[in-house]
Order: sequence, then C-alpha cells, then structure tokens
Amino acid sequence: MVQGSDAGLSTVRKLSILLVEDNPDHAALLRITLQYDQRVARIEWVCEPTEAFERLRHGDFDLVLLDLDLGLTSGFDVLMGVKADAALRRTPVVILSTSDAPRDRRRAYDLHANSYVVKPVDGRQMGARLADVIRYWAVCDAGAALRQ
Amino acid sequence: MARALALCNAWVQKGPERALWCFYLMDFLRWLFDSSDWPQRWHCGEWSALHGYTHIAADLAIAGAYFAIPVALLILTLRRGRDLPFPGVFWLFCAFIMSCGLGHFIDAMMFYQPSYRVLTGVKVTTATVSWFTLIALIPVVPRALALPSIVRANAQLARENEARRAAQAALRARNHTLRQKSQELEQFVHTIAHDLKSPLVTMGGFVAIARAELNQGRHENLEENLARVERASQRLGELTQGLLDLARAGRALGPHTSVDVQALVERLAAELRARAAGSKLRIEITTPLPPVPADAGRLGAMFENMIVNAINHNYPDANGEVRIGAELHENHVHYFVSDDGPGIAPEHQQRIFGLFQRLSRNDGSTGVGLALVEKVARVHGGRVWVESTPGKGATFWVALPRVATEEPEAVDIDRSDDQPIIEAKEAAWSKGATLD
Repeated sequence: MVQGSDAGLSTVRKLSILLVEDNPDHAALLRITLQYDQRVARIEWVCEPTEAFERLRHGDFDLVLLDLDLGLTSGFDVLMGVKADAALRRTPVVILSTSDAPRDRRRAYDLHANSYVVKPVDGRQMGARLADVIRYWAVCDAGAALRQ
Repeated sequence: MARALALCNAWVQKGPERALWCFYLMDFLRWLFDSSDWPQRWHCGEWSALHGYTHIAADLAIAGAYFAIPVALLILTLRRGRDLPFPGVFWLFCAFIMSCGLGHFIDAMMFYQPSYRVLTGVKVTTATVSWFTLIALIPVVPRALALPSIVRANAQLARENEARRAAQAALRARNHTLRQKSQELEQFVHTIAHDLKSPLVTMGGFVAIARAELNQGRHENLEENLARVERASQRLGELTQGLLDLARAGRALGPHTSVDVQALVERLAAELRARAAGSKLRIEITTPLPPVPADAGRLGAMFENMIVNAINHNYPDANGEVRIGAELHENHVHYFVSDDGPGIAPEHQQRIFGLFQRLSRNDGSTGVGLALVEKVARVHGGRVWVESTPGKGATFWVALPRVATEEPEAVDIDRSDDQPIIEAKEAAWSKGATLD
C-alpha cells in the first residue's frame, strides 16, 4: 500500500470515517483494505440511509464514504440530505461506486459530492486507490476534514 | 397625331394605287357612318322623354357592364396568379361580350346618330363571334364542369390537412415511444453493467486480499475470503440467469391458449410448499382462478416469480401467509398475490418493478423477478401494479386481457371498463403501463 512520506504521521490527523454501504461484502472489503492504514482512526459501517443520518448527527466524522447503490434508496438521496443539512454539509463525502457512467459522476458533482471514486474490479488497485483517497483527505486537504 | 399623318402621307406617296385604296376606304367609311337615310330614333315613333332616356340609360348600363366583365375577369385571374383555364374560350368569350356591349352602346347612339349600317356591322360581328364561342364551348363545358368546385376543393383540402395532421401526431407519438424505448434500453444497459460489476469487485478484492495474506503466510481468513468470492460468483451466475430468463420472457410469444390458471397455480404452490417445507409459511389460493388466453410457459414463469417474491418478502419464521386470488372484470382478469411482509413505501412502489431494484440487498432476491412479471404482463397486453401499506404486507396485481390482443405492445388498453383499475391509478403502475 502507498504510504505517504510527505508529512510526519504525528502531524497527520487521523480520520474518523463513516462508510455507507449496503453490500456487506463490499463493506468488508473496504474495511479490511483500510484496517492497517495509519491515517484511519476508525471506520463505522452503516447499511441504511436513515442510519447514516442518525450516525452523522451524533457521531463525529471527518469523511463519509458513500456507495451509490443502496437498494431502493439511492446513495444520491443520502448525498442530497447531507449537503442540504447546514450541520453536515462541510463533512467531505466521497462517492464509492461500481458505476463509471458519466451521468452518475455528473449527478454526484451536481449534488456537491467532494469526490467520485470508481470501485475497481481489479482487487490489486482497490488498496492503492483507497489509500490515495485517505491520504488526500488526511494530508493534502486536512483542513477540509477539520470538524466544525 | 402629326406623326401619324406624316406616316400616312409617306405610305400614300409610295404609289398611286395606294392613294386610290385610301380613297376607297374613306369613301366606304363615309358610307358606313352615313345616317342620312334614317331619322334619329327620337323621331322614329312616339318616344316619351322618360321612355327614351330610360332606354338609352339601360343600353349604356348594359354596354358598361359588358365591357367591365372581361376586364374584371382578367384582372381577378391575373391577380390570383393562376393560369387561365381554357385560354382560347376565355378570349372568345371576352370578344363576344365586348361586341355585345358595343352593340348596346351603338343602339343607345341611334337616338342621336342613326348609323344603322355600323349597327348592322356590329351585330353581324356579334353573331359570328357568338356562334364561334358556342362551338368552342361545346367540347370545353364538360371539362369545365369536371373542375372541382371551390367548396369541394376546400373540403378535400381540409380532409387532407386533417389526415396529414393525424399522421404527424402519429409520427410524434412513435418518436416519443422510440425515445422512451431508447432511454429504457440505455437505463437497462447501465443497470446491467453496474450490477454485474458489483460481484466482480467483491471477487477481485477478496482474491487480492487472500493473495496478500498468503504472501504474509497468514491462512486464518482464507476460508472466509474464499467463501465471499464463491458467493459473489454464485450471485453473478444468478444475475446472468435472471437476465437470460428476462430476455426469454420478452421474446416472441408462443401461441395463446386458454391457460388453466387454477391448475397451473395449484401445481406451482405445491412445488413451492415442498421447497419451503419446515417453515411456517402457508400458501393459499383464496378464490377460483379463471382461465386466460396466454402463452402457458410465460404465464407459469410469471406466477412463479410472483409467488417466490411473496415468499421471499414474508417475515421469516412468522406465521406468514401467501394468498393468491383473482377478480373478474369486464375485459380483464386481475390476479393478485399478497404477502404479510414489511410492505413497500409509496415512494418505492413504482420502482419495485424495475430491473435489479430491491428493497434491500439481503432479501435473497436477484431483482429480476418482478421485472420479469412486468414484462410477461406487458407482452400479453396487460399490466402490473402493487398495493401496499408499509408494515402490513403487499399485494401484487396483474391484469390480463380476457381476449387475446393481436399486438399487445402497441395496444392501448381500454382502462375505462374496469373500475378498480381507475381507483388503482394512485397505486404504482409499472413503467411499461404508465397512464399517459
């Protein structure tokens, strides 16, 4: 896995992450992939959009990893809800989706997603891609991740 | 004038015989216009002033009108930019009516200048032209009558316009349908690509994890990782099979026979009861199920998917019941399958029939079943909808025509005959049978 050497780890903030993902296999995959990342303080996993809002309001998260395909409720609804909520909208939301369709990407950014990452089919890329995402929000744009 | 005289003079100077011709002509004209042999008409008989002037005025009015008619006709025709129909007859007619007018004019002049020879000449001309006009008219009249009247032409034009407008509307509708179909297809491909990728991500991811752990000499998670890969590959297989079933359900139908739905569903229920043996779930047929004209195979697949859907969505281990029944309406049979499951929120009732749309990922279904139900209903000229109150189960309805339709996809089902359908408008319609 890519390990950042651009900042001493002591100065890097550790991220509290909320993972909104209704596919248990994908959730396990993401959590296993991130479990040894030193920039991650904790990962909390929820399946349901309502649960996601519940946790966001009461928990203290630096980053939301949001799957788009959540059964009948679309991840877009969660994104819309977060960005419409004055208390939540500054929390960066990174879309994680199997879809690389331009219209999904467009719609995500239209709804003020902070990033859009396609889940790679090639398992070896998953680790690198997630590590990059974490490194960006923990190091490159740590200010954005500061809790309000 | 002087120039004309000079020209005349020059012409006459060219030879003595020309001067002679001139002389004869002048003599003839003098003779022609000479009125010395007759009295003015005023003095021919006893004219009262009123009678005389009325006679003169009427003649002048007739002459005026006769001169005006061809002029008006010509102007009107030219202004409308049309070609003259039958130009020969038109010009003959003009000459005829002009000479008639001239006759009346000279007749009026007789009261003052009784040049009866001129009058005779004009009358001879009129007579000649009249007869020529008559002869020319004989072959033309039938053709002229064949020209459509303005009214008829207008009516014809209106009809053609109407037809054109209808054709345009049909074309627009067709275009709309095509666009809709194209969008549906795009959505379909998008959904397939998206949902088929999901298990692939799982497989790729856990194979990579297993490999990394093996390289570190760790084996403790191997079994679990492999199980995940296995489940994902099974799911991929189910999705593929579901897609194949769905494609088959939409292909050309076999011959419609009167399907004994009662026997079909009883057989399915027995099979599914055996499969669900050990659970407390009951599958009951609550009303007689009338037969319906359909492709028997497709109909079987449709009912199987409806019942399996109901079984899958009953609360596990509860005293759930799947009820199957029917209502007979004038033109349609409405079959229903209801369950005691969690139900479907109104905002999801429309999407539930879409491909790969599931209430949750863990309900054991592939998201193909209800899409297949909708498709089978649609290709039979029917439609599907769901009635549900969250927490109180769901009832899935299928309306099938009691008389087989020729071209089910194109047939707009008459919705006015079946009152419950109207009431169910607020319930969700499948995307294939929207109301507009």
